[in-house]
Amino acid sequence: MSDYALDLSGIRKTYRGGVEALKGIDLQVPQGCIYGLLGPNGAGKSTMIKILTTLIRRSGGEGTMLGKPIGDRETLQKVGLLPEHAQFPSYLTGRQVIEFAAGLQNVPTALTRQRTDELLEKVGMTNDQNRTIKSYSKGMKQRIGLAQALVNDPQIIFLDEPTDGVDPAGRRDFRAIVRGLRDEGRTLFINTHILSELEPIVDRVAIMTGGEILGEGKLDELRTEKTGYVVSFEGQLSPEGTAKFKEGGLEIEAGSVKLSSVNAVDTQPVIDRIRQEGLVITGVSVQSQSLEDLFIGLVGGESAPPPMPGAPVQPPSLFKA
Amino acid sequence: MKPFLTLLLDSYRSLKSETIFWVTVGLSLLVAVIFLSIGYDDRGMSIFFGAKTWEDDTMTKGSPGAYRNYLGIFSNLVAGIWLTFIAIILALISCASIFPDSMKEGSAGMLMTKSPSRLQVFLAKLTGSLFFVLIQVGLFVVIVFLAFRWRLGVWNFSLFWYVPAVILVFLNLYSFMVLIGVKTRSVMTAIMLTMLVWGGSAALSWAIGLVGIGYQASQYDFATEESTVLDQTAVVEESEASSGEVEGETGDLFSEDAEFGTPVFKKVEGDESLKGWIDTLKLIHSFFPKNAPIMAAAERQLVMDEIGGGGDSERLIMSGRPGNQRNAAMEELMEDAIAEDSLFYSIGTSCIFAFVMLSLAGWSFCRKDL
Repeated sequence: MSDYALDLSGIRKTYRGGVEALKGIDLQVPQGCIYGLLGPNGAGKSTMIKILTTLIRRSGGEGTMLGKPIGDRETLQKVGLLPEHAQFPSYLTGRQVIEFAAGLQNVPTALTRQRTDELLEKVGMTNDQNRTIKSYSKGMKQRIGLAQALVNDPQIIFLDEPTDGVDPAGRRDFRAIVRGLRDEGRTLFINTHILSELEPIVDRVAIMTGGEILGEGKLDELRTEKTGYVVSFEGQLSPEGTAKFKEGGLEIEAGSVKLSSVNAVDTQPVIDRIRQEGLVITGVSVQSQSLEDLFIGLVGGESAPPPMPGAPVQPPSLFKA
Repeated sequence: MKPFLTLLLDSYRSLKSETIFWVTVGLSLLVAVIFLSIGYDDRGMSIFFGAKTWEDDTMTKGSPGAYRNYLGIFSNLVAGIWLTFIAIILALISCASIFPDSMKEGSAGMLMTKSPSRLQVFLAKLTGSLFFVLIQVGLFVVIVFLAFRWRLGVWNFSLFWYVPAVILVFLNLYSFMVLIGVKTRSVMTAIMLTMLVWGGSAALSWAIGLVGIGYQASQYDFATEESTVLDQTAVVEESEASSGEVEGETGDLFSEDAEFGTPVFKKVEGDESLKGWIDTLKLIHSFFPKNAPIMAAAERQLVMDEIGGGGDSERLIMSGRPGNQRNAAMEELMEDAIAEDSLFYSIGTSCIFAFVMLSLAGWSFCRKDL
């Protein structure tokens, strides 16, 4: 069996009317990792997941998932999916949604009951399991969506914008669950445009825009590049000191001065000046590239292209919290 | 098998969650109970379990008149209007959203990414819809069946012919509705176009009948009176003898209801352009579902098998005419006249229609990007 949970080569999708959603994607996702696919709205991320889960047909390219060709029905029994804008039958209770997914995935009845109880506990929905979906908040629906994606004990789990509409506590819980799933040896493939959600948990990322992957790799490797230093202090700089720093091209925020130089020698005059003003230096830290910096660097601040035909309209913000 | 049963269970839950489902069940039960409430006693007929009565010597309990009346109410109102039109329209509306809803972006992610193939999902949804109609009609017919036993004292098993008939009519129309629903993903468009096809089929039938009457009329020279009917049976026998076979246009237009002294006109060569129109309309109609003949066939089964037991006299009681050999012979002629649109033709072409529509819908459902 392949070392890769996903091994894609030249995946293309052209919609009717000639809109190219994917322009030949090559991607390898190792088993047992959290893989983040980042990109602005309309980048082709959801199209990618839909191709992998057979919701749409690719126009070209080849690929395997868990060692089997994409679209293999037996393989789909080992796949979990939380779709974007998931709509579960409104007449079902949270528990019934999970049981429905289990039935579709041919999970034995006795096992279904046990797993449903465990998953409801895991996503914190035990107390609300018997309420109908239509009475749930968006965050609660996402929790049930995550539970139904896990009911078949999947080896690979696709999460498309999983924290959309989830409150901060829910996001923290979500990150904990995702880490736990990775520790159990499962592969998680997460689509998001909320970079801050992904940064703390992701092992590898691919940055995508306009149907192409612009960069891919381990997050630590991608952002090893130093971007500067930050000198922190207590107190307030004099107007003269502030003016001098600004003349030198430094960024000044409350209690800190940021240098874009990666040379430590350049921090010394800054430290000296702050001391001259009688302020206390509280720290000097190295700044490395954030995921956001990386993203902006690759995408170049590109605004979202027009949505694909039939795609829901989303807010244009790339980094909404 | 479990995924298929899961989908069936979900179809049932989905229908059960819709208000229209309960409206349909409620109306269906109401109609059945109203029919059940019709009764006969020594003085005549009553309705609403005796709340309203009509004194009529010809419709006393156990009389042929009561028998005819009860069957007539069932045939003309219950089966003719409720089962043939209203119940089917309600069933179509109830099931219209099943396919478009399952193809919505968020729902499709739940349904189509699991182990069942799209074809399995399609077939399960279709089976669920048919199962819904089966439950509705089956429940209704069982109540009517019990009503016949209670009111007339007969176990009329032929009533159950209405179950496959209604399901087949529903399937004809629903197959088209599914195709439109899958193609457009719009419930309203599917309902509207299906009603249009249903109306179109009925209009074509009507047009064929109208042009047919015109064609028959063109085969007579109304200016030349050849003779006067003295004996109806003689006319029929004469027609059969002259043509060598029984044909629809053999004078029956004028002879069926002919009374003593009715003139018989000279037969001439008919207007062939009208014949051409009939052929063209029939050709077009052959592509449409044919619901009326299917329901009529169920009605014929009701008449012949149970009440008549195959005998002529009972059958004539059902047709509301006093039994005599002359009208029986004319009825035979009428049936032969419509032999071209036989039950097998109607069912066969309707099944082909449904098969083609469902094949196209299934193909599209399995291949569509969601």
